[in-house]
Amino acid sequence: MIASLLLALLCQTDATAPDRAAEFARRLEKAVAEGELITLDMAMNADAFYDRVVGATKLSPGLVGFLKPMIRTSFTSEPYFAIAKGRATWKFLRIRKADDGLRALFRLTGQGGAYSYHDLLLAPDGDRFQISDYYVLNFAGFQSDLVRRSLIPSPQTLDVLNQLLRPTAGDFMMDYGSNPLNQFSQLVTAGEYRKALDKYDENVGVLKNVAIAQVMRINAARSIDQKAHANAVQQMSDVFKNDPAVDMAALGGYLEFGALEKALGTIDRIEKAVGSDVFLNILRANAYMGDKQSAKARDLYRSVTEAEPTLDQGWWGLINVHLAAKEFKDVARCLDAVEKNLNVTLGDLAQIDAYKDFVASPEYAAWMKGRGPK
Amino acid sequence: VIAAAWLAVLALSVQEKSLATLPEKASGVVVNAEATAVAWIEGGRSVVFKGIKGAEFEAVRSLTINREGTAVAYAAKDRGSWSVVSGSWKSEGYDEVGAPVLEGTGLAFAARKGAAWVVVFDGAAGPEFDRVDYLTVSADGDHAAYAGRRGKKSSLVIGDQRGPEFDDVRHVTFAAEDRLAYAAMLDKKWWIVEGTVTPETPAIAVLKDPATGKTGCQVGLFDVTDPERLKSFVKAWLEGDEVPSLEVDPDVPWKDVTDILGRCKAAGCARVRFGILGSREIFETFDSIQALAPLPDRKFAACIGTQGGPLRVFQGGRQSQEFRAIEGLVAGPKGLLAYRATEEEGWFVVRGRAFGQKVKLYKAIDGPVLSADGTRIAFAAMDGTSWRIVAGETHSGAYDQIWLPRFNADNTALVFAARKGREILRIDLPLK
Repeated sequence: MIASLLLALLCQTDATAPDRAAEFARRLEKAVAEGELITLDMAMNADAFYDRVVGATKLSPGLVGFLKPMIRTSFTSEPYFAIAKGRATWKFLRIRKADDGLRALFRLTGQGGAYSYHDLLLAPDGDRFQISDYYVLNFAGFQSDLVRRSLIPSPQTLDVLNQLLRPTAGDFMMDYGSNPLNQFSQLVTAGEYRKALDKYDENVGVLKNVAIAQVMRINAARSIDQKAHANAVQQMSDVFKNDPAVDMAALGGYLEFGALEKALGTIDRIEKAVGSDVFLNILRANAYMGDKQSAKARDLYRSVTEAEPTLDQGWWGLINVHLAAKEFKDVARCLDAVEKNLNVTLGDLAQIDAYKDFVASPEYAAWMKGRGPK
Repeated sequence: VIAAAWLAVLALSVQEKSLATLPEKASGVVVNAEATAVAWIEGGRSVVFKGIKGAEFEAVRSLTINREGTAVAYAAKDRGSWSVVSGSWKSEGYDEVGAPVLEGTGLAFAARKGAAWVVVFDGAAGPEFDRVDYLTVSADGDHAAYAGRRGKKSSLVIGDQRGPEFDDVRHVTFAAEDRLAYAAMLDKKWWIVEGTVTPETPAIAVLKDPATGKTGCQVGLFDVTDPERLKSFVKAWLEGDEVPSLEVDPDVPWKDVTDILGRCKAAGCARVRFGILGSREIFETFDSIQALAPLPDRKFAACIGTQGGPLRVFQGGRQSQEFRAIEGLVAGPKGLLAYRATEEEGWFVVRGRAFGQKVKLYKAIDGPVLSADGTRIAFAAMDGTSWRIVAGETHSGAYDQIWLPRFNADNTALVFAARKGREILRIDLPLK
């Protein structure tokens, strides 16, 4: 009797934990949408993240004093959202149980079509949860892995640095600068794509098993030509078979080179990995726009604006379609919706070349009249 | 030509002007720094300022005058209790009051009722302490700072804000309007704490006390571990559209940081930044600190103190030669220091660290003072019977008493007040 009650209780706890986690994630999403990033900071357990970064690596007190502030500070809301560059939208998608606990999948979108999927690793904290790490689907790795690869010195250097009473930034930069991943990353960031690919090839043995290196390589190759891009995608696919990170990395090139079917195929595979997400219709719409199938694109953008009106990329995509089709009444309607749903005030459209025809239209004059003086 | 020659002679000659003639019963004479106004206590019961006699009391003491010579303040006993009086204003009565401090229009004094001491600044009483010491007011009269002691712990106090607790706090000294330094002692080691009254950045330092293991918060000079104190800073920053920044000691558990974030949120804060905590290591420690002189343009204040040996002047890791006694430390621009010192007998003035410097001995010295640009030095010296001003090759006439001089704007003359018999004079002394 007691055993069955206990079992029932355990089952009940197990059954409600994902619900409570979902509620927690929704609260976070709401707070962030309202600009209250401090709520996310309060949920991020930087000590747990630090432990995951350092793992079993032995660090002297001097090294701890140097590395711990950097690692803990990297696990806060400001650097988290910095990758979105500009206005970010953070959307909770779902909770799932993984071997290491509950994970809350969020989609982060930002300026210039940037997007990433993060699986937040949730650890119970009384009746709440704390975030101890997040898995970046785009890079097929935990953020703690990425920080470890970038910041924790090589074993040989670590032996030396552990002897120092008070290591300085200069001591670290020697090792940081000689790390092949950092060297490769710096070349990509600097736009030196050919040199970056050469650097990758020089260190292929070390870098080919690092997903973020392969992702950066695909991005660099895309800037060279379609063949280089296809080659890079294939090599990443060889190592990271069926991982959505390959598709996420490859998609940009497919869109750029007008490979519609390949693009749609990768988006379908991404959808299988992340589950249903209306944002993927933006990617599909972008693919159709690239293929000059604007009617399909318009329908897809519209589906996004209806399902998630606060997602700016849906509105801007739809406006773009309407501008190209000279559907100026729809442009005006969308602009009103943008101001309402995205909480932004539009600037002077006459200054933007893409709006030239709209500004010259009677629909614009009527729209401006309806807006009244600002 | 004659007029020009006359003007040249006039410029090179000492000019004396009478400021006041003291009556027989005058005591506690004060002259302002500009040497334009005189006040004194008459018969121990009233104050005369600018020739006008004030109200009579049972007793009057601790007369002070502001730099501009526009106001005086003093302690007055009336019907058994002590008050501080300035112009037509009179404080409430206390069992005891300390010497008032008057800078510009800022008036502060320590006062006791029963066993509790408070500092009254601009008419408002601050928090109660067992003792208050080293009361000082900033040159603009905007801030009063002092060391407040409760039980066995002391802290810097400015208005409602307090610094962290130490075993002792002394020599609270303003450098400029907003910057100050003080000496702090913990476990028998002294060091100098410096900072600005208004924190330069909206940064909250989250620190772990190595002695107690507890997490505390500091904003600039102040301890804000108390949630209400933290809240007051956060609210002020938010009103100024500033985003608070947390700089966390690596030894502080993140759980404590989360608690502090909760306090920031409760104060209305929607987001914070995280920064790297700057080095808070103590630059150097001392066995004793006797006086401080913050430098106007440098990070480390100078002090008179000891470091396991004889008395020296220390500044930024450098030290002077040793002396038997050192007093009157002043600091000028570019790290310039000056002070008076004695070895066996007689006093002399030292500029800088003074290794191997030959100096002239006097029976007593007051000062020194530095010109605003730090290029000139002057002091009052006594030869046994009278006082005179010395500034390089320039020596004034002899007087019975001298108030410290100041250099004029272009360093061509010294202005000071002096007493000859009952006559208080203002002297303009051209410099060679």
